[in-house]
Amino acid sequence: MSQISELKKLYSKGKARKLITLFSFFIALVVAAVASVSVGAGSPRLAEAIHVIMAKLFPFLNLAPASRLTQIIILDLRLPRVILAVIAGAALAASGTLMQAALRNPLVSPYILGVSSAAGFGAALFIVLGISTVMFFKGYFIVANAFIFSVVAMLIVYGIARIRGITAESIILAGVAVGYLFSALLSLIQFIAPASDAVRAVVFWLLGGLSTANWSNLTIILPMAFAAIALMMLYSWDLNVLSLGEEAATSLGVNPRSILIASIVLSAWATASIISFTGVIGFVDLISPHIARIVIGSDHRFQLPCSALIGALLLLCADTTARVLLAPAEIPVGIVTSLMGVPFFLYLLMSRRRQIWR
Amino acid sequence: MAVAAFGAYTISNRTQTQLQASSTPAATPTATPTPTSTSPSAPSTSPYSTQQPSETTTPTYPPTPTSTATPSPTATPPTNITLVDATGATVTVSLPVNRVVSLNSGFTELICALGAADKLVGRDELSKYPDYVANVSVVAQNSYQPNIEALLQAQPDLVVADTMLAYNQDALGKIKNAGIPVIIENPSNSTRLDTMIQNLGLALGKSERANELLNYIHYYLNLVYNRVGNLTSSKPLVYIEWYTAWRSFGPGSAGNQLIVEAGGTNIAANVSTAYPTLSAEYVAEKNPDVIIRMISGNLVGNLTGYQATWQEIITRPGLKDVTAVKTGHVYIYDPIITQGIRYPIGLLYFAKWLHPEAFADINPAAIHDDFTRKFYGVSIQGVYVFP
Repeated sequence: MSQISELKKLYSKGKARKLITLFSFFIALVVAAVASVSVGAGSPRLAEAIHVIMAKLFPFLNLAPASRLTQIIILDLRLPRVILAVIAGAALAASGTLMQAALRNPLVSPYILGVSSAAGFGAALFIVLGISTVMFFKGYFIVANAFIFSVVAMLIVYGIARIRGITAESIILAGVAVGYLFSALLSLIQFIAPASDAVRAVVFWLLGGLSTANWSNLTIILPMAFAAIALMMLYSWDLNVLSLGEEAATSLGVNPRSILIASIVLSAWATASIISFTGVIGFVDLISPHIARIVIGSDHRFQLPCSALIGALLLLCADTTARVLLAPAEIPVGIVTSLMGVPFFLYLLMSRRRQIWR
Repeated sequence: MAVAAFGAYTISNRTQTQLQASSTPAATPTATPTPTSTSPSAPSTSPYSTQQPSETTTPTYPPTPTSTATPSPTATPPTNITLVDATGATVTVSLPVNRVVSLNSGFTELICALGAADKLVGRDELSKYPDYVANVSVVAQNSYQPNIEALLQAQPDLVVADTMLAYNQDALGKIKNAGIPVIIENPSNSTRLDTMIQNLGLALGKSERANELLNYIHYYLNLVYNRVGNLTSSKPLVYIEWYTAWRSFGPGSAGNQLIVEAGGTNIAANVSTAYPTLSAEYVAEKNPDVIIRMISGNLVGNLTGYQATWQEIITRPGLKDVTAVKTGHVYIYDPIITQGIRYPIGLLYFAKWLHPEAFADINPAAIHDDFTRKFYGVSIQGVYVFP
């Protein structure tokens, strides 16, 4: 009896520590977001940023209105971009965490398995073929198309892996092959379509970036991505069970197949809702789950939100650096994510002795 | 046999009795202001016509003295010429050149303007103007990606390409090994324009026509330079955009040069790269007086495309509140009017957009039409600028 209460105590202690870790990451993200809104090629800094945002959020305070230019820079240009970086980083990282858990393979991510390329292809295809057809709901149609192709890519990968026997190698090889396929199709659009709008679209989706951030895009991205992450959270306990193995999961009343299907749909959904607007962004989705696993362990109820926070933080810092480093010129965010993330990841990898990956 | 020489560049009287291109009507156009009455022989306004031949154009025999208006008809036609191209390479071309391959739309236009369209036996995919070059077989995607087999199949006496070919040494080597001389030039660099025209005029035996073209070009370049030089008003701030949002033209780029020559200040002039992606807030804060945007390739010539591009600019967050949008100084252009021998047309448009009062009497569209009728034998069709 005392042993059980001892265990319970230990567990709740660990749980409290994990909650504190999560909370610290959240605070770090808020600080980073405020810092990011305060820097840029334009002159407004922290004071102006806070002033403008407060005046907008709380009009009853009757704050003296800032200049039109300051308002535009903070509210129309910087803020949407900061929010996009946060939500994109979070959704991609959550998506990667879910895939790694569902496929029980630490080497997979939407980018590695070709899901990102497939989403980019779906979005580009829609832009090229359907530019003039549906203008009003265009944003949703792009996401829908990207989503369809993401799911197709994941089903191909999973199908191949299932036929060949689900091993780590077969999944990754199938994913890499599918990734090449969709990258090739994306480049093929560039070749077939005589239009340079298509070329532009393709280049955009191959490179990826956050400069397209604006409020009307965010009204589509935010609900879609938040819904996906929230639904992922619902599955986190089942994922913990699944990590014991399929037989064990089945004996505990969890249907591995249905979890797998749900994971495929949810991770494809999250990826598509982001990639449709940002182009193919890699690395964040692979690395964040690992960093989360190192700092908070592999209980998915904590790893998933932690990974999302880390992804958000990583992409936000990378994009802010990309905006500021050579201002007024901007550098592609992918360069910065890798240059910043890889050394950090390698440091974590070398400094931790305990075995995190079985 | 007699050929009138406009400058010192006429090497020889080729066997044809009349230069084919000269037969294009040189009638006084209707809508153009002053220049055409003096063009093409406008020596008083064009310093070019008094200019000495550049060192890069070195015929292998002593050039005809400038004082001699007409070279002796009995002079032996040269068997080859040697010239230096934009890469600094010395190129020897055996004359006469009867078959030429152009790997750049700027050269294709130039060859046609020189009245040598009949010598064009191969082109790159992007060479689509004037329309009649559509009949010429495609032997390359662009200068960087020639299809060597197709190119050799065309059996050219000469290949002209832009500087991208110099980055594909493998392809360049293969063409040279086949014994075909290659002239590499940069058609989007207006400082090479004169040399380029002279060299091709020499190689194709169209020096007289080349001089006509040079005089025409320099008349308008000087017109812009003079008026811009005499301006007393301050230089407007210009934001120029490539066909990707926020991508601009920095120092050393063709877009920057256009703005400078048209009497403006480029907001990206101090950025470290030639084709920077600018921060949106930087552009918003600079508050440009004029916004000039390149039309993307698939929308070329199509009014709705121009309107959509224009609409996107004037409603884009970060741009919709700048002076240029508020005062209606947003312009969309087709980059073809700023490249190669049509550079003066683009410059006239830019100058008029930047200084509407100083160029009130200038109608760039009419000059453009005059130019294409005179040198390509076709009127302009479609849309090149908006509004």
